[in-house]
Amino acid sequence: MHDLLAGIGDALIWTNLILVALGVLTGIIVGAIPGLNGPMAIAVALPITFYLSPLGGLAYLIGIMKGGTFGGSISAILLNTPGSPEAAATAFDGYPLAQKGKPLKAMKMALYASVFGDSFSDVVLFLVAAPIAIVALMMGPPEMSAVLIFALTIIAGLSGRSLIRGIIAATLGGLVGTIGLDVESTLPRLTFGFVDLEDGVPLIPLTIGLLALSEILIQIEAQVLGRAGAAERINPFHKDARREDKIVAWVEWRECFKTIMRSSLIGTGIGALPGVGAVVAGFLGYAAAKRASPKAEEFGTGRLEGVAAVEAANSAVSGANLIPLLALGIPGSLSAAILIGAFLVHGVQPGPLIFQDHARLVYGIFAAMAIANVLNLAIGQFGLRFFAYVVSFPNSVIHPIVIVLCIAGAYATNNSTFAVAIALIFGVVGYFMRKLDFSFAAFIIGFALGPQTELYVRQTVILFRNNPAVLLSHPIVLFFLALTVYSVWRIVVHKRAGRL
Amino acid sequence: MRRSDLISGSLLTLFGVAMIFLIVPMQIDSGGDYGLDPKFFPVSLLWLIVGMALLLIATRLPWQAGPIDEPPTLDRHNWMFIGAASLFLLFGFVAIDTVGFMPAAVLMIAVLMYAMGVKRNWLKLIGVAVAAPVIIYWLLRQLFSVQLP
Repeated sequence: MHDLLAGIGDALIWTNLILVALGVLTGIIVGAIPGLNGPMAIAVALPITFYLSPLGGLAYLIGIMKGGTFGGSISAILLNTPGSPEAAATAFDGYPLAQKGKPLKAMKMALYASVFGDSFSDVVLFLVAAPIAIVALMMGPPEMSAVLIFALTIIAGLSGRSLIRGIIAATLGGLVGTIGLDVESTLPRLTFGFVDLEDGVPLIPLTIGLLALSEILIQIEAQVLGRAGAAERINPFHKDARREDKIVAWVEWRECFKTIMRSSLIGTGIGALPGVGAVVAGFLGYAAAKRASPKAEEFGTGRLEGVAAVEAANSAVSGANLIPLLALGIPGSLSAAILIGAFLVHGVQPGPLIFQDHARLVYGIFAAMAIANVLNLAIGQFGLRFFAYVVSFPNSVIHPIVIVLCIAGAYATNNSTFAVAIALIFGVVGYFMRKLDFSFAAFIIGFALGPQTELYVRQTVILFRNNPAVLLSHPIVLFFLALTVYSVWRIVVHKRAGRL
Repeated sequence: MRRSDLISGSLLTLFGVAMIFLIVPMQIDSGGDYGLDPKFFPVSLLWLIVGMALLLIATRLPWQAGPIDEPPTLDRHNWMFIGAASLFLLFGFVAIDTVGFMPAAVLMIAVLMYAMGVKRNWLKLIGVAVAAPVIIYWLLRQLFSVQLP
């Protein structure tokens, strides 16, 4: 109880409140600009958090994560171009609504549904994470190895379009994760004589390169080669707009509430599964709302319910995907994988022990998440005019600045140009991964989880080297290994049927 | 993705085999008898990559699903772009390392903006190219005590 109150108190310190607000603002702006997205902003902002308190840094990043999800809907509605991938389905009804002269109504519904879905998911996180962590604490190295192998397989299978390419990407990530000193013998592995590599490839520059730089390279390429699509931008503050087209009436909110609730449940469920992510949640939420609606044929023509369904579902992922991160140390999504870096920077290892060793910090994070939701609503509501303006910023100005920001961010990781080189190399690697459809999310998660998996497997070998058959008497190990095989089979069957 | 899968599968197989038989023996020494050998994990992962890459090739062979007729994922323009971009990034890295962040960043932004179509509005080009690095440098130094090179 003391830790809970102390954590809430920490989150309410004005510097942390400002950091959350700044995070939300950054997230919405970045999310609103097509081509930039929340995870990218988290990766670039991550080095800055070295210089902040653990809670302040994490609160800032969580603010970006939450703001980014809503921000993506702004350009989806105004430009018919989703600012972030998870808002792709928002454009289905959002843009037609804007064309009908109701862009403000659509944006406000997106905001309200997003905040509701996010808050719902956070409550589930608060209630579920600690009990799962207690169960996880009862598991030893063999069980954790099996859980991690299962999680990696699911992530590899679901984060791209091909299971094989996903596994290759996750394995390549794991391979890069083996670079550095061997954990047992301390012998260098694949360092090629570089002293800087003895600590391993740094996570943050690698993430900046794979996530942010490579995406910007793709965007610049589209612009330079003249392959970027142009969209008609709609002005949401048109003078002739009627008042009822600018607001979400109580009746409209009530009509959409069932859909929002359903989507929040879908998003939370999806978010708790490692690897699936907000894009799938958004589409599933939309499909479920369409199936349940008596006016299904009106979906895609500018139905408010369609906007609410997508935004509640994709936002509900952000809280729930911290469940596996905090309870098991397994990042459920790209954002969560990047957050691992922020935890590690401050000497905090995400996983079941976090509730024991850093309870005050965890409760502080929970409180910051709740505050971020309130601030997301307030900043989103009052800043709509500004965000609508930001959407129109030309890429020819934004993208060059983001490249320089990436370089500065990579340098700030450990004040060395070596980190900049890593970011640049992985920027080019990420370009090819995107072009050849190798999931960079699977790569990053494989990289983040690889060393941990290796450690657990090594501990298991030391424990049972004389008698590996003892593993057969560990039901959780058998359960997760069987689940891994079953999941692979299901993913293959579904992908062949074109359902995943 | 069939053609690119075949090419990337072949390259990954070559990479895996070269790593297993050439690079790993040179780069990783064997440890003692206690626990797993330091080579165990890298080599296991490399074998997995080789196996998956071969599987990728096997599932994309022409007799699996008809002839290859899709356009290449990476065309000539893509290769030219990424070649130029890699050179540009290399140049940027060397410039940061030798002349420092500010002049290198000004130059990088100006070149990129020009390449992206800001060709006539010189005031905008120079203004953004100078202002952005100054703001980034100042913010990192004042707020986070990061001394950029």
